[in-house]
Amino acid sequence: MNEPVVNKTTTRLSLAWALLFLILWIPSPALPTPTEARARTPLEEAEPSRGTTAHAPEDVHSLLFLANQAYMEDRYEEAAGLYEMIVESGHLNGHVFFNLGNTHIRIGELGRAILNYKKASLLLPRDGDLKANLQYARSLAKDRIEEASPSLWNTLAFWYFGMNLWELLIAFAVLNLLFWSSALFNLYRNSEWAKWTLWLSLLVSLVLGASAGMKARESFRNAGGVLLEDEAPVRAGFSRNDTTLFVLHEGAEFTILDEEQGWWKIVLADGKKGWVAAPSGGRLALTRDHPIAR
Amino acid sequence: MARSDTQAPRRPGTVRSRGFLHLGIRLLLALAWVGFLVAGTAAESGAFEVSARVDKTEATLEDQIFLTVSISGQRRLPSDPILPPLPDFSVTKGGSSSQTNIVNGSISTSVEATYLLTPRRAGSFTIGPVRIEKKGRTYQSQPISVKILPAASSTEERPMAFVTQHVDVQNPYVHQQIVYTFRFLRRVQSVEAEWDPPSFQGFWVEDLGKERQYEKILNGQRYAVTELKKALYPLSENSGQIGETRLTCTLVVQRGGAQRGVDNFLGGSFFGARGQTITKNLGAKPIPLDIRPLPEAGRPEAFEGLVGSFAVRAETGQSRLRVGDSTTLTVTVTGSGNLRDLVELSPEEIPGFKIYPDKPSFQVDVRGDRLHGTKVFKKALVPIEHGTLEVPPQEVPYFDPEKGSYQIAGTAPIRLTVEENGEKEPLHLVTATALPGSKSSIKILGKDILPIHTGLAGARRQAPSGMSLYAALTSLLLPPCIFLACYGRKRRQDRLETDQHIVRRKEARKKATRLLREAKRRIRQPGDKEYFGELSRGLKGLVGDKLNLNTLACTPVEIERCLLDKGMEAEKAQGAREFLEELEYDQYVSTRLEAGEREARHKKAQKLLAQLDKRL
Repeated sequence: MNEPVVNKTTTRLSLAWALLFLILWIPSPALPTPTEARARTPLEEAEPSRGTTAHAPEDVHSLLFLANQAYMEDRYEEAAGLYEMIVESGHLNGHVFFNLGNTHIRIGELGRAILNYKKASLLLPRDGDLKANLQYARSLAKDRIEEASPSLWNTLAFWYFGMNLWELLIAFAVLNLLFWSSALFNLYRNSEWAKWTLWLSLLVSLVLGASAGMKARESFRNAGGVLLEDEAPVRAGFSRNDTTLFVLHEGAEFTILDEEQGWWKIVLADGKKGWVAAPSGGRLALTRDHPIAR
Repeated sequence: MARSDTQAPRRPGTVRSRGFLHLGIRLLLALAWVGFLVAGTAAESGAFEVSARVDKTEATLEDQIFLTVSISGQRRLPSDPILPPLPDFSVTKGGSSSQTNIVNGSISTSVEATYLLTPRRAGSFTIGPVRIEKKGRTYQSQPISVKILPAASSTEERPMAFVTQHVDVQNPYVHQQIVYTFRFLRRVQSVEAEWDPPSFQGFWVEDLGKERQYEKILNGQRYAVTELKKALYPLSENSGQIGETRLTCTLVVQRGGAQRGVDNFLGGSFFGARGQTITKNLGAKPIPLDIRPLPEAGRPEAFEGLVGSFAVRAETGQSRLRVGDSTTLTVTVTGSGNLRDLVELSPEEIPGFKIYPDKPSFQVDVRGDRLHGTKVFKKALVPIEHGTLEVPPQEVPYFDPEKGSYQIAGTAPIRLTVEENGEKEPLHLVTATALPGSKSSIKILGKDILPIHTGLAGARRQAPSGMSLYAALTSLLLPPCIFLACYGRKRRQDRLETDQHIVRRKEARKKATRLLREAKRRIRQPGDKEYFGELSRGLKGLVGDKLNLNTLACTPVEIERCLLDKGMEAEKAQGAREFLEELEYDQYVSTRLEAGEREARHKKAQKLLAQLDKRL
């Protein structure tokens, strides 16, 4: 009497595994496949799609192409406008921020350049060109602020500092899948290596999950800021009548501690604190409402 | 009897009395400690007095005076003692100590701070009051008078220990090397010594080897000598003098006036000496110097300030070469003097050659009592024309203080035969920079940003949002959901495999329905009484499967009891019993029933089956 029941269970298990493999095979809709990406030629990109709004995702390709073309033809103001249009549409991409940083350098807006390079570094943490350009931009800044040297934490948590949020999420998803697959395997088969895989994948997925959470906070709620005006007084309080403690110049980097009545309470890398008028600077957080829209 | 007494067990009363004794002692000790603390606090809050004393009021310039500041009524210093200005002494701060005295039940506490005063000149001095501030009030000690006599070693014929300093030349020229010598001589054992060198302001100073140890007879007395030498170069004619030097040492003096024999400097056994130690502060007078400027007369044009005695040697790597080849010209300047100041050799250009100079090397060694230097200049020479080319004499003008005149150390000219390059290759002079040791760091001519990224990567979204975020969340949540579903099924499967009751319950209705369906096939056969048996087995089987009992052999009454036990209403249980009895009657007793009646039995059995399935 039990025989048919077992047969049915085996069929259902096979079905579950098939579903699991199907999930593994389905690519994320957010990432275009390499074939898709290659299929779009520059000419197609240059031609805006008909019947779509200016902020439609299809337009990003053409906007990017036009912006790059404007940059290479030394029409930097136009290029900056196009890049910012891409950013304002919610398209967050490190290469776009990098190009925008370059454009601001060419225009002579050092603060905006540093801000965009730093935003780009959140999305392209391993990009050598970006590091070189950010270093160059920092060398142009008037204020010399002593920064803390990279700690041991930077070396130990290499995956956190070397991967962006999306990469961390993908790694977390893969490890999550590995963990549940191992758990499923352990459910039906008693294997020593499967148990090891289970616990190891659990540990790694927990670490990656926590890292992804921290990275999301760093990316979208980053308290960093850069001074965009030529110079701005940093005062003892959030009023123009308060004593000026020191003066910051364009490109100075700081951390925003608090916000009050349109003023930011900031701290510099060397520990100096004070209040600066919020419109003088730009926030580092990756948000759709771009604070430095021209 | 006595033995038996000693071996007898202790009486409880004895143990208790000893316990009380111990308790009493502990209480007394505790009370004494508390009393000590209270008394200590009281003593601290009591008389506050500052006093100062010295270990001797008369001393020589070679002695040191211990100044002790004592504060009574305190266990720790309320504040650092403020010493009066003491320009005639060098003051070194010592430690502090506290003490508590109990004399005839009277407790006193005090704290002391010590200072070491080293006199700088002879005379009578007053060490002013030492002040202490406590809670806004200032307390001060009484002043102390001390008398400082000239150094004993200067007056004694055979001093126990003394120091000397001198230079080999009293009136040197500017940049001339002079040898400074410091000596520490003692005829007793020294266990500790600290030299305070003089100020060499206005001189370039270099060490002349390590310190030397030797013995010397002076006035018929054997002295151990420690000698230090330095090479000095006056930087200007206003350098002035070499300042006073001092040495603080601890000497071991035998008791009874007889001094112990000479021992090595710092090398003697302190514990082996049967004597007492004394600390001496020995000094040597400053040395006035008359530094002469270099004469203007006869000064060569290329003179670069070298003073001393020098020689020059020059050689090339090869004497025959072709145009474009390179050879190394090595010019070695040796001598005693300020050779370190020689930066470049003239001439810097040689006709017919392209020159690539290397960084010169400089080595110093001690020869005799003087510093001797060797400076090597190397230049890569690349002939750019053929023929017999001449490397002109390499000359080093210097001032010789021994002769009191300017001299020129030079070499003979070197002739090189340069042949035409047969291959007629264009001469790439730039390649000569790759000579060994002549590499230079890359010059940064400009800085700029790296170009923009023009690839398609810029069009790819790099942060999760919208659909991609949902996809990510789905990919995170789907695996655990699948796992939970599989886990549930697995558990159920395991239970089905192990628990027969569940299987029976699960299959009960199906089985009973099948039996009723089989019975229906017999409905048109009026003589077939097995039809009723099938119906009865179907219903009994359902009850048995549902209740996990073997009910096929049960009577209708037993079935009714089972149903009642399961909580079924009495009326329905009775109805089931009656129907089952009716079926048994039809099966075993009754005559033929018509098809309509058999149909009615089947319908009733179906109804009862549904009722029982629902209720059980």
